[in-house]
Amino acid sequence: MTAVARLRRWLAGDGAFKILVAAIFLFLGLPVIVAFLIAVNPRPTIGMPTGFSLRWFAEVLRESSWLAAYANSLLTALVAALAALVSGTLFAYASVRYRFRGRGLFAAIATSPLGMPRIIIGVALLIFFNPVGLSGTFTGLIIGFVVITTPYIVRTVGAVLDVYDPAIEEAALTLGADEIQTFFRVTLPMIAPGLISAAILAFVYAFGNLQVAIFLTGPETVTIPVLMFSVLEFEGDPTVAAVACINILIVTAVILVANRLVGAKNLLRL
Amino acid sequence: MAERALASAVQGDEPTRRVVAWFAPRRWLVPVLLVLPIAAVLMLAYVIPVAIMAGLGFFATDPTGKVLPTLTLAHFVKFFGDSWYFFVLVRSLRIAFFVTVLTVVLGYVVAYFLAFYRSRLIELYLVLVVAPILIGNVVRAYGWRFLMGESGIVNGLLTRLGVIDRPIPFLYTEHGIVIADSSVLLPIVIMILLGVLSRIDATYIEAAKSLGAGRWRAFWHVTLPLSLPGVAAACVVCFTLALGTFETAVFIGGKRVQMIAPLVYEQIGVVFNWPFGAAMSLVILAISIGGIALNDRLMRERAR
Repeated sequence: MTAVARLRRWLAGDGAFKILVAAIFLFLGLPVIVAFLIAVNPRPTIGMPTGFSLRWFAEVLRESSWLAAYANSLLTALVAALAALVSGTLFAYASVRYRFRGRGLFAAIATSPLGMPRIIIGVALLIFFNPVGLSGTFTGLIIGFVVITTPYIVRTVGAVLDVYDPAIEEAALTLGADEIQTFFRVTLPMIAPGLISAAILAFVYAFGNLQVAIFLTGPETVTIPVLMFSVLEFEGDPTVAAVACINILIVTAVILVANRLVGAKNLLRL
Repeated sequence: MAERALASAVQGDEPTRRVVAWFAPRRWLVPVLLVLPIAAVLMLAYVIPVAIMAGLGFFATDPTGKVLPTLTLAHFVKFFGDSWYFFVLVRSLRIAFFVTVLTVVLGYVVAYFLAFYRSRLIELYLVLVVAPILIGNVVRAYGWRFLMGESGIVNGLLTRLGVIDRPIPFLYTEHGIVIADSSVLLPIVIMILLGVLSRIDATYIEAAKSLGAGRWRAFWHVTLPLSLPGVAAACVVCFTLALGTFETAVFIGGKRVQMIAPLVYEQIGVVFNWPFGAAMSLVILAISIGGIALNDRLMRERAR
């Protein structure tokens, strides 16, 4: 009886709330768990797993189209994240340290891709790139990724610069450093954790993007999400689930490295 | 760290001194140069392309989809006049509405937990929230497709538990899309709400409780009103993203329950009627901008 009474008190306290939270976490993670179950199921039919096998993983590594897509995805996402990091950081720095006309307008434009369906950016860039021969090229794809990742960089780096004390910069200037030295030797090391987490987020968003990539990739530049989508559109194949698991491994590795470098608190300042 | 950085900074470098000396009489150039890269990217790869897309929506096409040099409103007339397209738009808006309600309510619960409950595992919980974003929408939408089949895990479980005796259809239904899409968009909504809730000063809530308010009263009269700007922002972002639902719409809705974004893709990538695709994109864009403007307006009125 005491156990029931204790359970009832726990539920009336915050027990019921915690169960609800756990259920929502399950709702969030369920599709990911399912992808894992399909990937290790030895049978080629999509259904409840009947055993454990790594044959679909081996299949992915044998298939040159998946390997090429991984190379394309990693390359474009990496270059785009770095380009967005440089341009976004310079802008965030300028808008915190200098007063100039159009500052607010620029910030509004730079962060506006956040508030619109990505598919619009994909359509607009395809229409724009096609006549100049950039659609289907790496350059075009990278530019598309830079546009969609720049808002995250501007926001994250802006938030970091906001809390960073400008008095430290002034101290460097007073002690005889010039502005360039101050930026590279004082400001940059101080905001580096924020920059790293911003770049990692940008990389991961570009890596997982479908809605822009599906318009801008050509036969030579197919990325992982585009290939997954085109395979799944015409009914499933367990190799796609294996690819999903490999992506999860890549993402976990990125999170662990980032956690080492900057700590989870910094990483999650979205 | 700051001390060491300062010490190394004051040693001085000849080349940077020369650069700084050159910029001294031209100080206005510094912010211009800093802003130039992002301005070039945004102008060339965002503002101008979106403007061209908007313009293209007003150009006529011949039956093969070739663009003709005549201006017309025909695409918009076709879109709003044809009951099929209009129906897909209305359905997309309806789905986006229900997704927004479900996602923001569920997201608020999790964000509240993350913001106000102390736990040693809080960093792990945060990673669990963000990891699905990083895993990508394609994988998660596909996972839901598998879960929702007639003999899928959800129906199998419910039947075995005796909750239902016939499988509930989820695939190719609107409620199936709403459920799957809500799961897909939940992490972003949680992060937005968490940003607002974690900035609320917990002493306000403590004050309300010490003045005799119960947990619910404190939540209803203090926490919720303080978090409303974040709720509004989360609603706007969630609604626009849900309106642009693509992967989930294709995998769960299929050809039977179409949404607007796959329709745009079809016009652009399959039918090659670019002006019509551009016109549809323009309608989505207008609705998104309307949502952002409405949110700004509400926030400003609240601030007053």
